[in-house]
Amino acid sequence: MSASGPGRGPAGEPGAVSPLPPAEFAARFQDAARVLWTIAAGILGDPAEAEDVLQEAAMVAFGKRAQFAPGTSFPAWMASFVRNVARNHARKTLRRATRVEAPAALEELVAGSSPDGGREPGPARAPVDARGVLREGQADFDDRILAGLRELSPDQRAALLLRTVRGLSFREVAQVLGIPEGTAMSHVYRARVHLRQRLGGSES
Amino acid sequence: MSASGDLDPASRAEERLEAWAAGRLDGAARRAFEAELAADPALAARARLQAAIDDSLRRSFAGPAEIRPLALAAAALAARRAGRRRIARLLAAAAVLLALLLAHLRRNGPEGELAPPGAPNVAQGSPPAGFVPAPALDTPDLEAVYRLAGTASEAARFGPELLACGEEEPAADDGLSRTLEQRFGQAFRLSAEARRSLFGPFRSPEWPTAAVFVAFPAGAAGRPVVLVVESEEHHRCCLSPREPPAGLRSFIWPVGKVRVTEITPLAEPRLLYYFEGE
Repeated sequence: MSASGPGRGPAGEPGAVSPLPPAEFAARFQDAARVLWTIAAGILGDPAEAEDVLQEAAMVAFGKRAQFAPGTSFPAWMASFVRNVARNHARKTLRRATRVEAPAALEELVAGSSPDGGREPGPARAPVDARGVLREGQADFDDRILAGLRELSPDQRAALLLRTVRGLSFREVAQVLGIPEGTAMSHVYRARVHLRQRLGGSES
Repeated sequence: MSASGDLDPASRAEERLEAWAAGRLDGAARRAFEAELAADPALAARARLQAAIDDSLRRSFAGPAEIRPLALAAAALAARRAGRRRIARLLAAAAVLLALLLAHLRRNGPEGELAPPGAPNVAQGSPPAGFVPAPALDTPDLEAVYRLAGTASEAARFGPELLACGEEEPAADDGLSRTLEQRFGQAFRLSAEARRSLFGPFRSPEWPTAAVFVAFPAGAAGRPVVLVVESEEHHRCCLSPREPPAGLRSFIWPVGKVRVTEITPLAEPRLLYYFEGE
Protein backbone atom coordinates (compact mmCIF):
# COMPACT_ATOMS: atom_id res chain seq x y z
CA MET A 1 0.00 0.00 0.00
CA SER A 2 1.38 3.34 -0.87
CA ALA A 3 0.75 5.76 1.92
CA SER A 4 2.37 9.09 2.17
CA GLY A 5 0.63 10.64 5.10
CA PRO A 6 -2.69 11.28 6.69
CA GLY A 7 -5.56 12.01 4.43
CA ARG A 8 -8.71 13.94 4.94
CA GLY A 9 -11.90 12.05 5.34
CA PRO A 10 -15.29 12.68 3.88
CA ALA A 11 -15.77 15.51 6.29
CA GLY A 12 -12.65 17.26 5.12
CA GLU A 13 -13.28 20.83 4.25
CA PRO A 14 -13.53 21.64 0.59
CA GLY A 15 -10.14 22.84 -0.39
CA ALA A 16 -9.04 25.26 -3.02
CA VAL A 17 -7.08 22.54 -4.74
CA SER A 18 -8.30 21.28 -8.05
CA PRO A 19 -9.83 17.83 -7.93
CA LEU A 20 -7.95 14.79 -9.02
CA PRO A 21 -8.43 14.20 -12.71
CA PRO A 22 -10.77 11.29 -13.23
CA ALA A 23 -8.12 9.14 -14.82
CA GLU A 24 -5.75 9.71 -11.93
CA PHE A 25 -8.50 9.03 -9.45
CA ALA A 26 -9.29 5.79 -11.24
CA ALA A 27 -5.64 4.77 -11.26
CA ARG A 28 -5.17 5.48 -7.58
CA PHE A 29 -8.37 3.69 -6.80
CA GLN A 30 -7.16 0.67 -8.70
CA ASP A 31 -3.86 0.68 -6.84
CA ALA A 32 -5.61 0.71 -3.49
CA ALA A 33 -8.53 -1.48 -4.49
CA ARG A 34 -7.34 -4.66 -2.80
CA VAL A 35 -6.82 -3.01 0.54
CA LEU A 36 -10.08 -1.11 0.23
CA TRP A 37 -11.93 -4.26 -0.72
CA THR A 38 -10.55 -5.95 2.37
CA ILE A 39 -11.75 -3.10 4.56
CA ALA A 40 -15.22 -3.43 3.10
CA ALA A 41 -15.20 -7.19 3.52
CA GLY A 42 -13.96 -6.83 7.07
CA ILE A 43 -16.59 -4.34 8.11
CA LEU A 44 -19.31 -6.35 6.43
CA GLY A 45 -17.93 -9.60 7.78
CA ASP A 46 -18.63 -11.16 4.45
CA PRO A 47 -16.79 -10.96 1.17
CA ALA A 48 -19.90 -11.40 -0.94
CA GLU A 49 -20.95 -7.78 -1.12
CA ALA A 50 -17.62 -6.14 -0.52
CA GLU A 51 -17.05 -5.16 -4.09
CA ASP A 52 -20.42 -3.50 -4.47
CA VAL A 53 -19.73 -1.51 -1.35
CA LEU A 54 -16.32 -0.64 -2.67
CA GLN A 55 -17.75 0.61 -5.93
CA GLU A 56 -20.35 2.68 -4.16
CA ALA A 57 -17.73 4.21 -1.92
CA ALA A 58 -15.61 4.97 -4.94
CA MET A 59 -18.43 6.85 -6.54
CA VAL A 60 -19.07 8.88 -3.42
CA ALA A 61 -15.39 9.67 -3.13
CA PHE A 62 -15.18 10.52 -6.79
CA GLY A 63 -17.82 13.16 -6.34
CA LYS A 64 -15.84 14.62 -3.47
CA ARG A 65 -12.39 14.20 -4.91
CA ALA A 66 -11.79 17.93 -4.65
CA GLN A 67 -11.51 17.32 -0.93
CA PHE A 68 -8.51 15.09 -1.37
CA ALA A 69 -5.38 16.89 -0.30
CA PRO A 70 -2.47 16.28 -2.65
CA GLY A 71 0.47 14.69 -0.92
CA THR A 72 -1.66 12.83 1.56
CA SER A 73 -2.50 9.17 1.51
CA PHE A 74 -5.09 8.35 -1.08
CA PRO A 75 -5.78 4.89 0.39
CA ALA A 76 -6.39 6.40 3.81
CA TRP A 77 -8.65 9.08 2.37
CA MET A 78 -10.51 6.60 0.23
CA ALA A 79 -10.76 4.14 3.11
CA SER A 80 -12.82 6.59 5.11
CA PHE A 81 -15.48 6.47 2.42
CA VAL A 82 -15.31 2.71 2.27
CA ARG A 83 -15.77 2.44 6.01
CA ASN A 84 -18.75 4.74 6.01
CA VAL A 85 -20.46 3.09 3.10
CA ALA A 86 -19.76 -0.37 4.49
CA ARG A 87 -21.14 0.54 7.89
CA ASN A 88 -24.25 2.00 6.35
CA HIS A 89 -24.64 -1.08 4.25
CA ALA A 90 -24.17 -3.32 7.25
CA ARG A 91 -26.81 -1.43 9.17
CA LYS A 92 -29.25 -1.70 6.32
CA THR A 93 -28.76 -5.42 5.98
CA LEU A 94 -28.72 -6.15 9.68
CA ARG A 95 -32.44 -6.59 9.84
CA ARG A 96 -32.49 -9.38 7.36
CA ALA A 97 -29.29 -10.95 8.54
CA THR A 98 -29.47 -14.40 9.94
CA ARG A 99 -26.96 -15.93 12.19
CA VAL A 100 -24.98 -18.74 10.75
CA GLU A 101 -24.95 -21.59 13.13
CA ALA A 102 -22.10 -24.00 13.15
CA PRO A 103 -22.93 -26.66 10.62
CA ALA A 104 -24.05 -29.92 12.10
CA ALA A 105 -21.37 -31.75 10.19
CA LEU A 106 -18.67 -29.79 11.95
CA GLU A 107 -20.28 -30.28 15.31
CA GLU A 108 -20.28 -33.99 14.66
CA LEU A 109 -16.71 -33.88 13.50
CA VAL A 110 -15.61 -32.02 16.57
CA ALA A 111 -17.69 -34.09 18.94
CA GLY A 112 -16.49 -37.30 17.37
CA SER A 113 -12.88 -36.33 17.85
CA SER A 114 -13.33 -35.46 21.48
CA PRO A 115 -12.73 -38.22 24.00
CA ASP A 116 -15.54 -37.01 26.16
CA GLY A 117 -17.76 -36.10 23.26
CA GLY A 118 -17.78 -32.51 24.42
CA ARG A 119 -18.39 -29.54 22.18
CA GLU A 120 -15.28 -27.61 23.16
CA PRO A 121 -12.39 -29.73 22.03
CA GLY A 122 -8.79 -28.78 22.57
CA PRO A 123 -6.59 -27.58 19.77
CA ALA A 124 -5.38 -31.06 18.93
CA ARG A 125 -8.97 -31.93 18.01
CA ALA A 126 -9.38 -29.07 15.60
CA PRO A 127 -9.82 -30.14 12.01
CA VAL A 128 -6.22 -29.47 11.09
CA ASP A 129 -3.29 -31.80 10.79
CA ALA A 130 0.14 -31.33 12.32
CA ARG A 131 1.12 -28.83 9.65
CA GLY A 132 -2.00 -26.78 10.05
CA VAL A 133 -3.49 -28.18 6.87
CA LEU A 134 -7.20 -28.63 6.95
CA ARG A 135 -8.52 -32.12 6.87
CA GLU A 136 -11.97 -33.18 5.93
CA GLY A 137 -14.54 -30.65 6.94
CA GLN A 138 -12.51 -27.80 5.54
CA ALA A 139 -15.56 -25.96 4.30
CA ASP A 140 -17.18 -26.32 7.67
CA PHE A 141 -14.04 -25.07 9.30
CA ASP A 142 -14.13 -22.00 7.05
CA ASP A 143 -17.79 -21.47 7.86
CA ARG A 144 -17.07 -21.58 11.53
CA ILE A 145 -14.34 -19.02 11.14
CA LEU A 146 -16.74 -16.77 9.28
CA ALA A 147 -19.22 -17.19 12.09
CA GLY A 148 -16.49 -16.30 14.56
CA LEU A 149 -15.59 -13.26 12.54
CA ARG A 150 -19.14 -12.01 12.79
CA GLU A 151 -18.81 -11.98 16.53
CA LEU A 152 -16.01 -9.46 16.31
CA SER A 153 -16.47 -5.74 15.94
CA PRO A 154 -16.24 -4.38 12.40
CA ASP A 155 -12.94 -2.68 13.14
CA GLN A 156 -11.54 -5.86 14.66
CA ARG A 157 -12.51 -7.82 11.60
CA ALA A 158 -11.09 -5.28 9.22
CA ALA A 159 -7.86 -4.98 11.19
CA LEU A 160 -7.44 -8.73 11.33
CA LEU A 161 -8.01 -9.16 7.61
CA LEU A 162 -5.79 -6.28 6.62
CA ARG A 163 -3.03 -7.72 8.73
CA THR A 164 -3.52 -11.39 7.90
CA VAL A 165 -4.71 -11.33 4.32
CA ARG A 166 -3.04 -8.19 2.99
CA GLY A 167 0.01 -8.23 5.21
CA LEU A 168 -0.22 -4.57 6.12
CA SER A 169 1.92 -3.21 8.91
CA PHE A 170 0.10 -2.05 12.00
CA ARG A 171 0.89 1.50 11.03
CA GLU A 172 -0.83 0.99 7.70
CA VAL A 173 -3.76 -0.81 9.31
CA ALA A 174 -4.16 2.07 11.72
CA GLN A 175 -3.98 4.60 8.95
CA VAL A 176 -6.65 3.11 6.72
CA LEU A 177 -8.96 2.34 9.61
CA GLY A 178 -8.48 5.74 11.21
CA ILE A 179 -7.50 4.30 14.56
CA PRO A 180 -4.37 4.49 16.72
CA GLU A 181 -1.65 2.00 15.96
CA GLY A 182 -1.91 0.41 19.38
CA THR A 183 -5.60 -0.07 18.90
CA ALA A 184 -4.93 -1.77 15.59
CA MET A 185 -2.56 -4.19 17.33
CA SER A 186 -5.06 -4.83 20.06
CA HIS A 187 -7.82 -5.46 17.53
CA VAL A 188 -5.74 -7.96 15.61
CA TYR A 189 -4.47 -9.88 18.59
CA ARG A 190 -7.80 -10.07 20.33
CA ALA A 191 -9.43 -11.17 17.13
CA ARG A 192 -6.89 -13.96 16.70
CA VAL A 193 -7.46 -15.18 20.23
CA HIS A 194 -11.21 -15.00 19.79
CA LEU A 195 -11.13 -17.07 16.63
CA ARG A 196 -8.92 -19.70 18.19
CA GLN A 197 -11.26 -19.94 21.14
CA ARG A 198 -14.19 -20.12 18.75
CA LEU A 199 -12.48 -22.97 16.95
CA GLY A 200 -12.02 -24.84 20.16
CA GLY A 201 -8.47 -23.94 21.05
CA SER A 202 -7.56 -23.66 24.72
CA GLU A 203 -5.99 -20.34 25.63
CA SER A 204 -3.92 -19.80 28.72
CA MET B 1 -1.42 1.08 24.28
CA SER B 2 0.34 3.06 21.64
CA ALA B 3 3.20 0.90 20.50
CA SER B 4 4.33 -2.66 20.67
CA GLY B 5 6.51 -1.82 23.67
CA ASP B 6 3.35 -1.17 25.65
CA LEU B 7 1.76 -4.49 24.87
CA ASP B 8 0.33 -6.56 27.65
CA PRO B 9 1.81 -10.05 28.10
CA ALA B 10 -0.98 -11.76 26.22
CA SER B 11 -0.63 -9.44 23.27
CA ARG B 12 3.12 -9.77 23.38
CA ALA B 13 2.77 -13.55 23.19
CA GLU B 14 0.41 -13.08 20.29
CA GLU B 15 2.86 -10.78 18.57
CA ARG B 16 5.56 -13.38 18.92
CA LEU B 17 3.37 -16.13 17.57
CA GLU B 18 2.38 -13.98 14.62
CA ALA B 19 5.96 -13.00 13.90
CA TRP B 20 7.04 -16.62 13.96
CA ALA B 21 4.23 -17.67 11.64
CA ALA B 22 5.09 -14.86 9.26
CA GLY B 23 8.78 -15.74 9.31
CA ARG B 24 9.70 -12.41 10.83
CA LEU B 25 11.66 -13.79 13.77
CA ASP B 26 15.39 -13.68 13.28
CA GLY B 27 17.56 -16.74 13.77
CA ALA B 28 18.05 -16.73 17.52
CA ALA B 29 14.51 -15.66 18.30
CA ARG B 30 13.11 -18.19 15.91
CA ARG B 31 15.14 -21.03 17.39
CA ALA B 32 14.11 -20.03 20.88
CA PHE B 33 10.45 -19.94 19.93
CA GLU B 34 10.63 -23.25 18.16
CA ALA B 35 12.23 -24.77 21.22
CA GLU B 36 9.25 -23.51 23.19
CA LEU B 37 6.94 -25.03 20.66
CA ALA B 38 8.64 -28.37 20.99
CA ALA B 39 8.41 -28.25 24.76
CA ASP B 40 4.90 -26.91 25.02
CA PRO B 41 2.22 -28.98 23.24
CA ALA B 42 -0.46 -26.43 24.02
CA LEU B 43 1.56 -23.67 22.41
CA ALA B 44 2.30 -25.88 19.41
CA ALA B 45 -1.38 -26.69 19.03
CA ARG B 46 -2.22 -23.01 19.26
CA ALA B 47 0.29 -22.24 16.53
CA ARG B 48 -1.15 -24.94 14.29
CA LEU B 49 -4.67 -23.78 14.82
CA GLN B 50 -3.71 -20.18 14.15
CA ALA B 51 -1.98 -21.20 10.94
CA ALA B 52 -5.12 -22.99 9.85
CA ILE B 53 -7.23 -19.96 10.69
CA ASP B 54 -4.91 -17.65 8.79
CA ASP B 55 -5.01 -19.95 5.82
CA SER B 56 -8.79 -20.02 5.92
CA LEU B 57 -9.00 -16.24 6.12
CA ARG B 58 -6.69 -15.82 3.17
CA ARG B 59 -8.78 -18.24 1.20
CA SER B 60 -12.14 -16.78 2.15
CA PHE B 61 -11.07 -13.16 1.77
CA ALA B 62 -8.78 -13.40 -1.21
CA GLY B 63 -11.15 -11.13 -3.06
CA PRO B 64 -12.18 -11.19 -6.68
CA ALA B 65 -9.63 -12.03 -9.30
CA GLU B 66 -9.89 -8.51 -10.60
CA ILE B 67 -11.52 -5.52 -9.00
CA ARG B 68 -13.60 -3.75 -11.56
CA PRO B 69 -12.09 -0.48 -12.70
CA LEU B 70 -13.75 2.56 -11.34
CA ALA B 71 -15.43 3.62 -14.53
CA LEU B 72 -17.02 0.27 -14.98
CA ALA B 73 -17.81 0.20 -11.34
CA ALA B 74 -19.70 3.42 -11.69
CA ALA B 75 -21.85 2.04 -14.37
CA ALA B 76 -22.33 -1.19 -12.47
CA LEU B 77 -23.41 0.67 -9.43
CA ALA B 78 -25.78 2.79 -11.41
CA ALA B 79 -27.20 -0.25 -13.09
CA ARG B 80 -27.72 -1.88 -9.75
CA ARG B 81 -29.40 1.19 -8.40
CA ALA B 82 -31.48 1.62 -11.44
CA GLY B 83 -32.81 -1.84 -10.88
CA ARG B 84 -35.94 -2.35 -12.84
CA ARG B 85 -36.74 1.19 -13.68
CA ARG B 86 -38.51 1.55 -16.89
CA ILE B 87 -36.45 1.24 -20.01
CA ALA B 88 -38.40 3.98 -21.65
CA ARG B 89 -37.17 6.47 -19.14
CA LEU B 90 -33.59 5.50 -19.74
CA LEU B 91 -34.07 5.56 -23.45
CA ALA B 92 -35.41 9.05 -23.34
CA ALA B 93 -32.66 10.26 -21.07
CA ALA B 94 -29.94 8.59 -23.06
CA ALA B 95 -31.29 9.82 -26.36
CA VAL B 96 -31.39 13.38 -25.04
CA LEU B 97 -27.89 13.05 -23.76
CA LEU B 98 -26.57 11.66 -26.98
CA ALA B 99 -28.37 14.20 -29.10
CA LEU B 100 -26.85 17.01 -27.07
CA LEU B 101 -23.48 15.36 -27.23
CA LEU B 102 -23.67 15.09 -30.98
CA ALA B 103 -24.81 18.65 -31.28
CA HIS B 104 -21.77 19.63 -29.34
CA LEU B 105 -19.60 17.55 -31.63
CA ARG B 106 -21.00 19.09 -34.71
CA ARG B 107 -20.67 22.55 -33.30
CA ASN B 108 -17.02 22.08 -32.50
CA GLY B 109 -15.89 19.69 -35.18
CA PRO B 110 -15.60 19.85 -38.93
CA GLU B 111 -18.96 20.19 -40.56
CA GLY B 112 -20.69 17.21 -41.92
CA GLU B 113 -18.90 14.55 -39.98
CA LEU B 114 -19.95 12.89 -36.85
CA ALA B 115 -16.64 13.13 -35.11
CA PRO B 116 -13.66 12.94 -37.40
CA PRO B 117 -10.05 12.70 -36.30
CA GLY B 118 -9.02 15.90 -34.68
CA ALA B 119 -12.43 16.67 -33.36
CA PRO B 120 -12.45 17.92 -29.82
CA ASN B 121 -12.92 15.31 -27.20
CA VAL B 122 -16.44 15.12 -26.06
CA ALA B 123 -15.63 13.04 -23.08
CA GLN B 124 -15.02 15.57 -20.40
CA GLY B 125 -15.42 15.75 -16.71
CA SER B 126 -18.35 18.09 -17.06
CA PRO B 127 -21.20 18.51 -19.46
CA PRO B 128 -20.43 20.35 -22.67
CA ALA B 129 -21.30 24.00 -23.07
CA GLY B 130 -24.93 24.35 -23.76
CA PHE B 131 -25.86 21.10 -22.15
CA VAL B 132 -29.28 21.50 -20.67
CA PRO B 133 -30.84 18.55 -18.99
CA ALA B 134 -34.28 17.76 -20.17
CA PRO B 135 -36.94 17.47 -17.51
CA ALA B 136 -37.04 13.78 -18.19
CA LEU B 137 -33.38 13.53 -17.30
CA ASP B 138 -33.79 13.09 -13.63
CA THR B 139 -30.16 13.40 -12.78
CA PRO B 140 -29.09 15.85 -10.13
CA ASP B 141 -25.46 15.05 -10.75
CA LEU B 142 -24.76 15.94 -14.34
CA GLU B 143 -21.17 15.04 -13.96
CA ALA B 144 -22.22 11.57 -13.11
CA VAL B 145 -24.17 11.40 -16.30
CA TYR B 146 -21.57 12.81 -18.57
CA ARG B 147 -18.17 11.79 -17.52
CA LEU B 148 -14.87 10.85 -18.91
CA ALA B 149 -14.38 7.40 -17.64
CA GLY B 150 -11.41 6.08 -19.48
CA THR B 151 -9.33 5.92 -22.58
CA ALA B 152 -8.39 3.30 -25.05
CA SER B 153 -5.45 2.34 -22.90
CA GLU B 154 -7.82 1.57 -20.09
CA ALA B 155 -9.97 -0.38 -22.45
CA ALA B 156 -6.97 -2.50 -23.32
CA ARG B 157 -7.00 -3.94 -19.85
CA PHE B 158 -9.88 -6.09 -20.80
CA GLY B 159 -8.14 -7.95 -23.52
CA PRO B 160 -8.96 -8.33 -27.16
CA GLU B 161 -11.50 -11.06 -27.09
CA LEU B 162 -15.09 -11.07 -26.14
CA LEU B 163 -16.08 -14.16 -24.32
CA ALA B 164 -18.60 -16.35 -25.94
CA CYS B 165 -21.87 -16.05 -24.17
CA GLY B 166 -24.11 -18.56 -25.75
CA GLU B 167 -24.61 -21.15 -28.38
CA GLU B 168 -27.97 -20.41 -29.83
CA GLU B 169 -28.69 -17.69 -32.28
CA PRO B 170 -31.36 -15.24 -31.25
CA ALA B 171 -34.46 -15.02 -33.31
CA ALA B 172 -33.94 -13.02 -36.47
CA ASP B 173 -37.15 -11.10 -36.05
CA ASP B 174 -37.39 -10.00 -32.49
CA GLY B 175 -39.12 -6.76 -33.25
CA LEU B 176 -36.19 -4.60 -32.33
CA SER B 177 -35.63 -3.10 -35.75
CA ARG B 178 -39.27 -2.24 -36.08
CA THR B 179 -39.31 -0.75 -32.61
CA LEU B 180 -36.30 1.34 -33.39
CA GLU B 181 -37.73 2.60 -36.61
CA GLN B 182 -40.97 3.55 -34.97
CA ARG B 183 -39.26 5.23 -32.08
CA PHE B 184 -36.56 7.08 -33.93
CA GLY B 185 -38.03 7.50 -37.34
CA GLN B 186 -35.22 5.85 -39.22
CA ALA B 187 -34.08 2.40 -40.12
CA PHE B 188 -31.30 0.65 -38.35
CA ARG B 189 -29.46 -2.36 -39.44
CA LEU B 190 -28.75 -4.68 -36.59
CA SER B 191 -26.37 -7.45 -37.31
CA ALA B 192 -26.83 -10.87 -35.81
CA GLU B 193 -23.92 -10.12 -33.55
CA ALA B 194 -25.44 -6.94 -32.30
CA ARG B 195 -28.73 -8.64 -31.83
CA ARG B 196 -27.05 -11.34 -29.87
CA SER B 197 -25.43 -8.74 -27.71
CA LEU B 198 -28.79 -7.36 -26.88
CA PHE B 199 -30.86 -10.45 -26.56
CA GLY B 200 -28.57 -13.30 -25.80
CA PRO B 201 -28.65 -16.19 -25.40
CA PHE B 202 -26.59 -15.61 -22.34
CA ARG B 203 -25.43 -18.82 -20.87
CA SER B 204 -22.84 -17.40 -18.59
CA PRO B 205 -23.89 -16.70 -15.03
CA GLU B 206 -22.32 -13.29 -15.40
CA TRP B 207 -24.34 -11.57 -18.02
CA PRO B 208 -25.40 -8.09 -16.97
CA THR B 209 -28.79 -7.07 -15.87
CA ALA B 210 -28.67 -4.15 -18.21
CA ALA B 211 -26.64 -2.73 -21.06
CA VAL B 212 -26.45 0.48 -23.01
CA PHE B 213 -26.04 -0.05 -26.69
CA VAL B 214 -25.23 2.84 -28.96
CA ALA B 215 -26.38 2.08 -32.44
CA PHE B 216 -25.18 4.25 -35.27
CA PRO B 217 -26.97 3.96 -38.55
CA ALA B 218 -24.93 2.90 -41.52
CA GLY B 219 -25.30 6.27 -43.17
CA ALA B 220 -23.29 9.17 -41.80
CA ALA B 221 -26.31 11.45 -41.71
CA GLY B 222 -28.37 9.23 -39.48
CA ARG B 223 -29.08 9.89 -35.88
CA PRO B 224 -27.51 7.48 -33.40
CA VAL B 225 -29.57 6.05 -30.68
CA VAL B 226 -28.80 4.57 -27.35
CA LEU B 227 -30.41 1.33 -26.47
CA VAL B 228 -30.71 0.39 -22.88
CA VAL B 229 -31.42 -3.23 -22.30
CA GLU B 230 -32.14 -4.60 -18.92
CA SER B 231 -32.37 -8.20 -18.04
CA GLU B 232 -34.45 -9.79 -15.40
CA GLU B 233 -31.71 -12.22 -14.69
CA HIS B 234 -28.36 -11.61 -13.15
CA HIS B 235 -25.83 -12.67 -15.65
CA ARG B 236 -22.34 -11.51 -16.26
CA CYS B 237 -20.25 -12.59 -19.12
CA CYS B 238 -18.54 -10.35 -21.54
CA LEU B 239 -15.74 -8.09 -20.72
CA SER B 240 -14.04 -6.86 -23.82
CA PRO B 241 -14.70 -4.23 -26.39
CA ARG B 242 -14.92 -5.52 -29.87
CA GLU B 243 -14.88 -4.30 -33.36
CA PRO B 244 -18.25 -3.02 -34.44
CA PRO B 245 -20.02 -5.32 -36.81
CA ALA B 246 -20.28 -4.12 -40.38
CA GLY B 247 -22.93 -1.50 -40.84
CA LEU B 248 -23.36 -0.90 -37.15
CA ARG B 249 -20.90 1.34 -35.46
CA SER B 250 -21.43 0.30 -31.97
CA PHE B 251 -19.61 -0.99 -28.99
CA ILE B 252 -21.07 -2.67 -26.04
CA TRP B 253 -19.37 -3.23 -22.76
CA PRO B 254 -21.46 -5.52 -20.67
CA VAL B 255 -19.57 -6.04 -17.48
CA GLY B 256 -21.37 -7.17 -14.43
CA LYS B 257 -24.54 -5.19 -14.19
CA VAL B 258 -23.00 -2.50 -16.28
CA ARG B 259 -24.61 -0.48 -18.96
CA VAL B 260 -21.90 1.17 -20.93
CA THR B 261 -21.93 3.35 -23.96
CA GLU B 262 -18.80 3.73 -25.96
CA ILE B 263 -18.68 6.57 -28.43
CA THR B 264 -16.12 5.48 -30.93
CA PRO B 265 -15.88 7.99 -33.73
CA LEU B 266 -13.39 10.17 -31.90
CA ALA B 267 -9.79 10.91 -32.56
CA GLU B 268 -9.03 8.54 -29.78
CA PRO B 269 -11.69 6.19 -28.50
CA ARG B 270 -13.16 7.51 -25.33
CA LEU B 271 -15.58 5.83 -23.11
CA LEU B 272 -18.68 7.55 -21.99
CA TYR B 273 -20.76 6.02 -19.32
CA TYR B 274 -24.33 6.82 -18.98
CA PHE B 275 -26.24 6.01 -15.90
CA GLU B 276 -29.03 7.37 -13.86
CA GLY B 277 -28.35 9.55 -10.93
CA GLU B 278 -29.70 8.79 -7.53
